Amino acid sequence: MELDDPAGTAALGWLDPAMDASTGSGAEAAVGALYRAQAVGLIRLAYLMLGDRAAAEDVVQDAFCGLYRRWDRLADPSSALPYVRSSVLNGCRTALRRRALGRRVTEYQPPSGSAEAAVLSREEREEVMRAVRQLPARQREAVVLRFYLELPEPEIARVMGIRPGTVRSATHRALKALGHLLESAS
Amino acid sequence: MTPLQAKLRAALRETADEIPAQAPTLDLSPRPRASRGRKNARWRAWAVPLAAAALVLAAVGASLGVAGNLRHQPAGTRPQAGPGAVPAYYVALTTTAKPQSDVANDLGSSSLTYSAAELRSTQTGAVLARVTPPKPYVSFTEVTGAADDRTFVLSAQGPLPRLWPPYPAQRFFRLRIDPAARAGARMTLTALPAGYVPAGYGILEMALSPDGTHLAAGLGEGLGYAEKLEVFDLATGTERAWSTRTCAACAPNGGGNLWMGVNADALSWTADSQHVAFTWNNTVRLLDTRAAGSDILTDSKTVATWTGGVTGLNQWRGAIITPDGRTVLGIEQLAGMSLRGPIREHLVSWSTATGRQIAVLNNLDARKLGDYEQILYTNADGSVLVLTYQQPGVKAAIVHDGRSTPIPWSPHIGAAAW
Repeated sequence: MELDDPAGTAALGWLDPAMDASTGSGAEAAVGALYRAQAVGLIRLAYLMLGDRAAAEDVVQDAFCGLYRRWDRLADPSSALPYVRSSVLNGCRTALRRRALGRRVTEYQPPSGSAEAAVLSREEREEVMRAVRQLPARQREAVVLRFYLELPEPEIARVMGIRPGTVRSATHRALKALGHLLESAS
Repeated sequence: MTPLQAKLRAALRETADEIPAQAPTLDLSPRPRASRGRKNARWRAWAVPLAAAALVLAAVGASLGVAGNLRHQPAGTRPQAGPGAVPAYYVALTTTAKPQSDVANDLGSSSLTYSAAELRSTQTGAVLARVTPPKPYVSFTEVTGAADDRTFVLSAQGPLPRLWPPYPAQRFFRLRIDPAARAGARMTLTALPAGYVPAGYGILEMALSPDGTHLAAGLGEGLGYAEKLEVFDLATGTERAWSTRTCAACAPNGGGNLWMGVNADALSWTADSQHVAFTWNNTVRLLDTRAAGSDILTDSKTVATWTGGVTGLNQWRGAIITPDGRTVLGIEQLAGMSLRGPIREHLVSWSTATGRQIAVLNNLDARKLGDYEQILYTNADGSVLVLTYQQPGVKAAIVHDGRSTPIPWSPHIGAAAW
């Protein structure tokens, strides 16, 4: 199974240098281009955080709208992807907070497994994802960024807005907790 | 990669693949945003309770008195910044990444890795001196200061591998500053023994004793939370360790330092340079570093208990003991149970005599993510603090005598110590 550039590295060259991104139309074109290149990966990221496809799509839409509004204040176009990635995580946090505040804890709803998902049995995958969804938001973010997007530690720190040391501790706690959760489930 | 990590990665990838490769159409039509125009209103909302908090702190300080003199230098020779007599300068770890103004700051983004340590003026924010990590180290990771305003310890690390663990090589450095810091001040960086950070270990948190002779650090192996608390004698090169592995309460969810939401300010010293306070689950515990023993729980005592963690989303973000040992100050985040209810962030104080909370010192609206307060400095009794917070964008203020005075703060700063 091949991921289509989960870390988004291919998008670093998405901006056409000739494009006048300072104008509204330039911003729209630039944000649109970034959206086309990254939306699927970001929706998947949000989906892993939220377990809800519609909510994931909403979060990503909001993140790109935010990027569009702030485009003229973006000091460096290459920072657009980290910005929008962080915005997606923020949106997920807000959605999770609202969900938890209302005691509407959504159980992960495993969809039907595909033929490609044969590395783990469906049962195993559901078990792992249930455990992931029991993690506190920060720990979940850390493991998703680490083990899905495979971002290096400094980039995870940047996206999450925390120190690299905190990334390490959050990831370790998450793995420890997952180990216990999966052990107790088996 | 361990079997668990491989399993996790496979599950994440396979689950993500459930989202089809065709994204919905992007709609960039403008929508009203709740955060617009909040900046000033937020500041006003913050300033009033914080000022009230400072009054409470001042009152607490006055009633308890101040035990001990924190400074090891005659006060008259030490430059003062003015508000609250906060030391005139601080050491900040900064990144050379291009500043992104509100874009990054809106997200609470502190920094990447820190490529330099800068001596900065508290009052003006001006950079007085700058030092970079000596090779083979490429970035600083943490900074902590003694009470003499001139001695700091920094941790530095080598290049980060794409995949970790193991950690890159890390090492502590002592930074000393000219007594009268000014523009062009001389800073001396001295490597501490390499053996202080064992191979494969990461430094999770550290705090320098007020007299600058001992360094407390939480070290963790692998991906690491702090598995042991080490206290290094910087004069003799010896060290002692208190393990978090041997105690019965450490597993499965006991963790150690930094566990349960605390992500900063997890270690602090009392003015006698003998007792270290550390966070442990919902408590702050005090360890006598000169007493016998090596079990972090049985050889320490609880000095404060946080009671806000009874519901899932509540958490606290750090707690430090004041140098006089009488008060613990911490940041808690409380999420109500109403769907549209507020998420509040409080600066809270506890009495170490009773272990109980004695005051809620401010009350911020933390619904906007990134509104994390952090206590960067406290005077002897907690009546003068330096806090960072989000406005949005990282800001800093001195809280003293019933007032809060914003101080210049660079978006490049990721960590700082006075």
